[in-house]
Amino acid sequence: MVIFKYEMRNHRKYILGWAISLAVCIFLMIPVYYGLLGGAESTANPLYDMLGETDFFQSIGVSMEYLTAPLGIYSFLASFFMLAAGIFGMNFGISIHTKEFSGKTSEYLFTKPHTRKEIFCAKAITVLCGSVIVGLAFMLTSFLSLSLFHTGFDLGEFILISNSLLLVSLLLAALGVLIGVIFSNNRSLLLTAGLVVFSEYCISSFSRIVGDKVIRFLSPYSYFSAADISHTGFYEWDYLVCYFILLIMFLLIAYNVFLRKDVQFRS
Amino acid sequence: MSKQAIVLNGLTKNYGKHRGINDLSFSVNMGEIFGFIGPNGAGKSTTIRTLMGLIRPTSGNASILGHDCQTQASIIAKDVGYLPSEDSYYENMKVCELLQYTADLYGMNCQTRLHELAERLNLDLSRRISDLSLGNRKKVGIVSALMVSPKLVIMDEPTSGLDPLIQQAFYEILKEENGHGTTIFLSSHVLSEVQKLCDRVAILKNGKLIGIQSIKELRESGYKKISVFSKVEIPNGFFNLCGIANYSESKDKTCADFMYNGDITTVMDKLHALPLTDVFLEEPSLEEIFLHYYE
Repeated sequence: MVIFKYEMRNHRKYILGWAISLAVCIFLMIPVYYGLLGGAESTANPLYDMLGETDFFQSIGVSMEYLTAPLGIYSFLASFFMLAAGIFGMNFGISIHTKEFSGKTSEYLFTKPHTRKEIFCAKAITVLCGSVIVGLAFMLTSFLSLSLFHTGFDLGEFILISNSLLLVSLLLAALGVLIGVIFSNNRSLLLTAGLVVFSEYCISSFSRIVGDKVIRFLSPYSYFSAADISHTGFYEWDYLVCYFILLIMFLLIAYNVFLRKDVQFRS
Repeated sequence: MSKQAIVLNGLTKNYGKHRGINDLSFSVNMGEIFGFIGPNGAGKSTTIRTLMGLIRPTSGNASILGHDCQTQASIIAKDVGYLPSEDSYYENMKVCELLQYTADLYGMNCQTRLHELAERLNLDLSRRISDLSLGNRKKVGIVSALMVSPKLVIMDEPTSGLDPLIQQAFYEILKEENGHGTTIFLSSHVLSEVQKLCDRVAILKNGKLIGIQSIKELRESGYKKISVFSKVEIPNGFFNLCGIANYSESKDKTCADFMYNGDITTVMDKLHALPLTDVFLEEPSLEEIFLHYYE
């Protein structure tokens, strides 16, 4: 609990910075995009005419039909915010471990009367809490903005779409924890996070365009398609199960490596 | 309670091509001040990090206060104050915040001891860690290690960066701690530091234990440092006696320095045979005593 409290205090600026940034952006972008894309009939909008004939909307998990639905534009926006949330989660997951190496503080922390299990759990819970704070800030501000500027949407569907951001950031944060534990001397955190997340996003776009279900399993961005949520009323079960298997697997492998690995020292 | 605070049993750590430590076996008694010396890269920090459970030995084992260093590191840590060789702490914290964090990690209230140590070491608690000099960071580490009233203190190069006055205060604090029954294990490559404090000393070279001796025994081993200044060249092999070590002479061969351990009258007879301008018979420093270990 001591380590958790310290980690939360130490990362509060990072967490709040991301939470506020995402919240402000989505709050402002919802009215702007609903005004830009949703005012006229979809077929009369030149943007639809131009992009609707390409695979653009399909690549981000929003069908042309769904875009005209009440939450279509919101899910279109959320898909880009998921990219940012993924970078937040992965960077957070990696840095919470590598900072002990880069700051040369491993010897301080690991020689105190706390087991490695306690240290790992405290750090993992910090990442979990940070991701939940950012996810909730996004969800609440989205709700507020939608309620103010665009009434008449389904609350359950909204929560599922909005919650996708939290789920994606959590899975990438768990992957970040694993990367941070294995490569604790990694000094290019943001670059690593950016590359991994962008690659995942590209895999997701590719899988949607080619329509291959197997390739979709490779990227968490494919697991929570807004159009499918709207169609089925929930997440797709096979991907949800895969999500939780991966989440648990990443954390368990990271935990085992963390327990056994020699502490790395920066000379 | 075990009478031995630290026990190493064939402790080995290999780093592939890099040198680690090789088959270290020795023990440190309770209440003892034990020195661990060796040149840079000898394996002192590797040994200490293995003892603290930070790295895992390739073979062998070690125990502290009766607990296994690998499986019970967190139990051991409750009774151990540790000062790492790297003086790095959380840069965004103030000194008082870091020391409070240390106290919280130990689950103790150490305010009185913390302020007492900070005052004696002249440490400003209100400064930010990132603003501290190397010496002041070392002071933070010392306070952090000692404020929790540990049964055993393990310090890796504790005085590097400290000015002589603070070093003196630090030695006094360590002696007081030892007077209260605390076992102290410190590594250094500065032998005078070990000489001032320790009861026994282990010498490490290239990851191997060269020997363990008490400071008293070392001093009583009879080595004398002799410096001879002659008016004429000292003939080759003139001091070729049993018990001579570390012999060196000047280019013009009129001055010679050596360590001597043997019958003093033998060397006095030799000296008498030379037309001397000066001669010094001195108590050698530990550096000089151990020079032949390092060579």
